[in-house]
Order: sequence, then C-alpha cells, then structure tokens
Amino acid sequence: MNGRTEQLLMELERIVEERQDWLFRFAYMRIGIREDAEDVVQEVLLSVFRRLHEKSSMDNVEQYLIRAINNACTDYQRRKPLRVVPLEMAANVAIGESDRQIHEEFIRINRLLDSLPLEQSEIVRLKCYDNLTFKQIAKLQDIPEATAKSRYRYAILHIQQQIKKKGSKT
Amino acid sequence: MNNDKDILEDNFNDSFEDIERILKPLCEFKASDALKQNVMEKARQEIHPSRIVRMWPWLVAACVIGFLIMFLKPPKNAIKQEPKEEQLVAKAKTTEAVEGKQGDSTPEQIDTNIETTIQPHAESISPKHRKTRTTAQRSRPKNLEEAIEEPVQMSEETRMELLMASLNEEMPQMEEINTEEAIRQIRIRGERMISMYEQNDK
Repeated sequence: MNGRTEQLLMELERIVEERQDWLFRFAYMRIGIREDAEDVVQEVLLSVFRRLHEKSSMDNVEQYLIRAINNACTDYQRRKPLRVVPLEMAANVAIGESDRQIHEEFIRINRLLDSLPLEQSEIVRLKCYDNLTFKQIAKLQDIPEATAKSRYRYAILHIQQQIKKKGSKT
Repeated sequence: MNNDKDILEDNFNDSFEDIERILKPLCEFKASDALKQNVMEKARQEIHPSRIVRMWPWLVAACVIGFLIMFLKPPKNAIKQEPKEEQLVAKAKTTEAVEGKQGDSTPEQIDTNIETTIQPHAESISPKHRKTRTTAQRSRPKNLEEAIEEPVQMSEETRMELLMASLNEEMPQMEEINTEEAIRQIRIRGERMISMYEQNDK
C-alpha cells in the first residue's frame, strides 16, 4: 500500500471518529431505525472517501457531509416513508433495550414538530437538534438566510402556542 | 407602556429560549463500533481492485516480452555444442604436435637438432670467430658426412663456446625430461661433437 493510500485511510478514520455520532443522530432523528440510520451513515462516509480518493483533497468536508447526509435521508424517506403509528402505540414498537432511550427521544421531538409544515419542522431540527447555523441551513435548503430565520421564528411561535394550549387544557 | 412592551418582549424571548431548550437533545446518540469497522473495511476493499486494474497492462506487456524472448532466442544445446567441438579439434591438433615432438628421436635426428640449435647461437660468439661461423651457416651441409669432409677451421676456444651455448639452450628443455636421461644425452652429444671436430682438424 503506498503512502497516499495510507494518508487517505488515516483521513477517513479521523472523519469517522469525529463525525460518526453526529451523522448517526442526524439520520436517526429522520429515520427512526438504528440499522437503517447506520447504513445511511456508512454510505455517506464511503462517498466522502471516494471523493477524497479521486480529488486527493476536499475544500470543505463539513459542508459536503451535511449535504450528503441530508440528501441520503431524503432519498431514504422517499423510498421508505415513515410508518404512521399512533403515538399511544409507539411504545409497543419493537426496539432493542439499549435503543429505548434514543427511540423515546425520537418520539418526543416528532411529537413537538408533528403539527408544523415540513419545511419549518426541518429547519427547527437543523437548528436546535443538529446545531447548524442559519447560514448553513440556508445553503443546505437553497433558500436565503432571512427566509430560514423567519421560518424558524414562525415554527417556534407555533410550538409555543401548542404548549400553551395544552397547558391551558390541563 | 414601553415598559410593558419590554416585559412582554423579555417574556417572549425567555419562552423562545425555553422552546429551544425543549427542542435540544436530552440523551447521547452513539453509533455502534461495527459502523467504523465496516466503513474502514469497505474503504480498503475499494482501494485494492483499482491497483490491480491499473497494473494489468504492465503484467500483459511482461508476459508478451517473456514469450518473445522464449521463442526468438536460439536453443541452448546448439550454442554449447559448437564451441565444444572446436575445443576438441584444437586439443587433438595440439596433442598430435606434442606427440610428434616428444617421440623417440634417433642419433641423426639429435645431431641435426644440435646443429639447428647451434646455428642461432653463432651470433653470440666473439667477433673474431664470427666470420668462420657465418661461412659455416651459409654453406649448410645436408648430412654429417658432408660436414665432416668440409675443412672447418675452428679453434679450441670456439669449439668449447659452441658446446656450452648448445648446452645452455638445451638446459631449459631438459628440465622437463628425466635428469639421468638428460645427462646421458648430453654426454653422448658432447662426445660426438668433439669427435666430429677432431676429425675435421685431422
């Protein structure tokens, strides 16, 4: 194995160690199944490696990763739409004991964002859960930054009203 | 009025942050260890085929060159036989020449050999006798009897010089031969030469 190949593998290993958890969280919060989420993450990481192998260097690996995982999750949802299960029955969905915590988290967030339009809920996930900036969100969604900020604001206000309504009912 | 507006805004901002806090992850998401292993393994597998694919033209070229060398090069047996045959012929010739030289020679042959060895040494003799020697060299007798009949004027000194010169020339050759036989032959030659010259003097 030559030196260049060794360097590429070391670079890939570094990226995997740094970003695999974040990528997994991103994928899981949109897919909901550990095995499928890890498959998507694996494909994304291999695509990064192939790109590095072809071009021997990449200008912005971070940006490429965000776009790649977002596109991979969108493709997955088109191929396998989320199975709609009533929230009362969600606890009965078969999952491993070790994944119960992250599955509960998946249910909680989806419950909060369920009433929002798709473009608003996605921006809220990207901002609050994935810790992206408005600039990164705008680039990813191919929208102006101001549009991203306004959609986010409307989404937060909507969630606030939902919580107040629930609070007032109880 | 303005204070009420500020308070509402502060409450709104607080609630905004509360909502954001609610929407943040409350647990840790960890990918399994197998994910990293699978990724690295598949990456290594993707690299290896490309190396093989890139090498195949060189391998094909090396095979073609190997075949060409095998078929165009003459067989080794034919090359080796020719020099062996030449060596054998050369050896046979040299052995024949050596056998011819080393064969048992008769006394007449010995005498002629002595004469031929003596003549080159004529030049090494002192000048006062050289004239005599050169005339003898020029008129080379065919056999011993003719040489004896010819009036050769030779002094005792020249006679001894000739004998010593011939003996010196014979010595390197005699080293190869058995010493006893060499001594015997020298004695015979010497006696013959002396008798020859005495007869000439008479």
